[in-house]
Amino acid sequence: MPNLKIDDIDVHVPDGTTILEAAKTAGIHIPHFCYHASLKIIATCRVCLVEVENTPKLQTACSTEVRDGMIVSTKNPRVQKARRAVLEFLLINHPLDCPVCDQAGECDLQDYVFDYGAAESRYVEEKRRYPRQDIGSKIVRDMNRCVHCTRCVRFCRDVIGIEEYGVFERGARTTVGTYIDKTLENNYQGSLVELCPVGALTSRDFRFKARVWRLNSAESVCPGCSRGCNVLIDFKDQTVYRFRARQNDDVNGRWLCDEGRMSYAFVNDSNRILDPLHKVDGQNKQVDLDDGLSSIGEILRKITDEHGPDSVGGIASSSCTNEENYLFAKFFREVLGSKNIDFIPAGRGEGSSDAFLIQADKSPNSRGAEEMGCRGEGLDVERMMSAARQGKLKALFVMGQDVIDRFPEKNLVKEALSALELLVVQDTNMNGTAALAHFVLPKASFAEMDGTFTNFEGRVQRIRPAFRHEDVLPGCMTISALVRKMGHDYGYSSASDVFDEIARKVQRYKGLSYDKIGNQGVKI
Amino acid sequence: MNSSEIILLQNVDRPNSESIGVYRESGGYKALVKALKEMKPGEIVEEVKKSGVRGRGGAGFPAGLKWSFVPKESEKPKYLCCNADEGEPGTFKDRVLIERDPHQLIEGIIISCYAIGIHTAYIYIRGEFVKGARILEQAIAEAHENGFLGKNILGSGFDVDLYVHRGAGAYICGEETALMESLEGKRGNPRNKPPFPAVVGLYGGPTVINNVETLSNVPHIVTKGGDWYAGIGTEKSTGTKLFCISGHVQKPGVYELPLGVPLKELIYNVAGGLGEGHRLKAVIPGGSSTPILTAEEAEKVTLDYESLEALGTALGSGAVIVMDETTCIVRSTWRLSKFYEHESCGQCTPCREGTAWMEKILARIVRGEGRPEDIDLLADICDNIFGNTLCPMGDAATGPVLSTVRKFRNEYEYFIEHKRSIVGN
Repeated sequence: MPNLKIDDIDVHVPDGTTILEAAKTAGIHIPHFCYHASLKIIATCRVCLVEVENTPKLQTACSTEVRDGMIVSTKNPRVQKARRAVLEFLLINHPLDCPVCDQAGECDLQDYVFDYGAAESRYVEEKRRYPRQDIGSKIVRDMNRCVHCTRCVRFCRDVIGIEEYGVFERGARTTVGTYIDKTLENNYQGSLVELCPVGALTSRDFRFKARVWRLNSAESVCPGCSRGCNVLIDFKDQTVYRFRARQNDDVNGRWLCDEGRMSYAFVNDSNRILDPLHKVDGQNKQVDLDDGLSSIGEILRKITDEHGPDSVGGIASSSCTNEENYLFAKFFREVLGSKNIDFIPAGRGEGSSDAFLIQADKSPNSRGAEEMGCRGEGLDVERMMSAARQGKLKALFVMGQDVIDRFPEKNLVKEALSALELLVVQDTNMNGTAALAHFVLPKASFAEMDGTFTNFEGRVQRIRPAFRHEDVLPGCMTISALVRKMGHDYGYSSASDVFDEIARKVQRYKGLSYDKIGNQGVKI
Repeated sequence: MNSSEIILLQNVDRPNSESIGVYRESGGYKALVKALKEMKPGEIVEEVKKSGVRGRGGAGFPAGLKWSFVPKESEKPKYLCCNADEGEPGTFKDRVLIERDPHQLIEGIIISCYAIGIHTAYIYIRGEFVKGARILEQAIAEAHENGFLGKNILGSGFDVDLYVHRGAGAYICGEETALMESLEGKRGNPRNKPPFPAVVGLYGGPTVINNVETLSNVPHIVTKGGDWYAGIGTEKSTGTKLFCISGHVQKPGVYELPLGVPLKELIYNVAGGLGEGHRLKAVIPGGSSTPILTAEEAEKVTLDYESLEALGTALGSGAVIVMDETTCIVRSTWRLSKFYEHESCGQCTPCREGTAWMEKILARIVRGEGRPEDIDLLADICDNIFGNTLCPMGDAATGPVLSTVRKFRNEYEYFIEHKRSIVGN
């Protein structure tokens, strides 16, 4: 373990640590563009030059490994001049279009120039202008803003192993782009945007939608597939603007696929269910949640009293949290006394997958749904549909699942659902199944609640609310209220309470808590 | 100068000097026989060290020392690359060695491989040297036929395969790590060091990269011994050197002279002096990247590593560019800056942006749109590039600009003030 001094601070780091990473441990930030902890080190941007005592030339902090007794200066006048010089070189041809650039506010070039650069330019020549090149449907390239750090190229080549982005020309004409007449086709283009330290690569989805400094972030998990990539939900008010990858080396590293990155879209959709609805004479009428739940409770009680507990069924969801699914199953078993509980794994085996992040199961919590007891010993979904058609199943409660969408024989399912005396659908967005429901209850999306998902490897991970909609509750809180209407009280005041019970009752989750799960999850 | 000091060019004027027959008639491949039959690899390395021969590509690093950095045992194959990417403006010496005495080079390569324990060697030749590449291919075939290349060379049990690889037209591929990248089939970008090529080089294996002229010396050092070689030249600059003299002299060309010879001797005697009625203005002593010498400096200096270094310049590749009083220093510097701007690989910031910026400023001055502050700006851009780039190309690009700004500042001032050159028009 070498001991060294960086800016007069004693630093003690393992062998093989670079000066840049060692400085980080001492709270010293050394600016860098080409360096990225997950990419091959190339030491080309030269903005991280520092002085190492007894070494004549300035050294790149990103590539120089520490030695015992090393004395490093990251701030002396010589280093400052070199740093200012590199920033000047990067700026001479830069369009300085920060006011219209999406990167402004999270631009390394902007930040470094502000911290270390000169206020005025000495450059009076004509600026370089690159021709436009359309590189595909997901991201926009503005080569004039590029600092030639080649993070994007190295990501494609070294991380996902797809050669479709490269360096062309040379010298000051060097350009970074796709091969002739080709567009980017890989599934991780959003990662290129995140890697780009400047506004050379921007997301078509996010472009011009918001200034980043007006956005807040919530730590969450991508609901797009069973990988459960860690994300930051960037939001403002009650709108999600984008996902950014959140580092978790056991799950997704620093990356996110494009499909997952777009999986927030439903949260903002105009078809969100924000009010409880009651269908009267074929017309949906807005009702008070309390009144709605009272009516649902009464009808359910009446049906079970008249036809027995097997006349009711529940369909949970692999998109719902463990807390939602757990309480759903508990409600059916303990309050209604029915074992007719099931869920449909979303898209298992149907979706595309790859060897990197993307899983075929396009839901975040199939494993959790299973483990929360949402596969009852009674009727499965298909048998519930036949029982409904035959008039044996009288009431169905569906949470977070468009049942019609999941079956090829849509008419048969519609017929079955229409035959029910009571269909309750709790979901985030209107869909075919909800359209047939007698009662539609709003449900918080992943972006609006606390909870946990269990990924395909059995890693339990937390989601956290970015914002809330008034009276739009997580499924578990709605069920909890319904249970109270039906004369029981579980005493939960939050998803965390439900999870604590899971941690007591479900063998594999024993001893877990939200604190233990933290922001990196726990593998069970 | 006596004729015994002609080492490298001794065959070049013989008819069919490129053929193995002519080469062998004049004693060719005897050094290889001696090396393989009489010497241990380590002994050859010692002789080369003793000879003091320094890299002739421009950097002047002692060749024997470079060889000794290569680990004896290596899990990965070791390689030798002969750098024949002769591209420094003003340099045309390797071309003569390749075209007129290819077997001298090949013999040098085989002996060097034996000395370092290498079984695969490449000659990376500048793409434009089509003729040279063909001659080398032919010579390699001849060497194979004669049992000097391939398996079990001369029954020694030692194997070497030698390949010619043509570059694709980039100056930067003469930089040793860019050369390896290019040889591997990649874009010719220099690599960050460390690791150095002697440890991690071509295809990740330990690699020695030597210039054509350096390797061509090896057979002679083996034949006559390191001490003999070290006796030529000066103490720190041993042996002879090929000088390519061009510009305003009567007899431009390639000349072999012992190191330490006065530059004056080369210009006025060997190369026949300047044109009638013209006088010396400046000399670029070692290829376009080496800082310029004023006439006064040029009249005094001797051609060896240490004397030129003392004047803040370098022996470089031995390319001496002579300029008489008709030369516009501002224009010639602009022209050189255009070369460096064009040849920057573009991966590292100061070189990519700085070379282009300097070219634009110089072009503007030459257009008559210069500003007085441009002179100091040029000097500061040089300071901002120098020492801060990934490879020596950045430093190279500053050589002509910074040295002319310092030594011929008046020409810049004149151009800017009068919107025309001090030499007229």
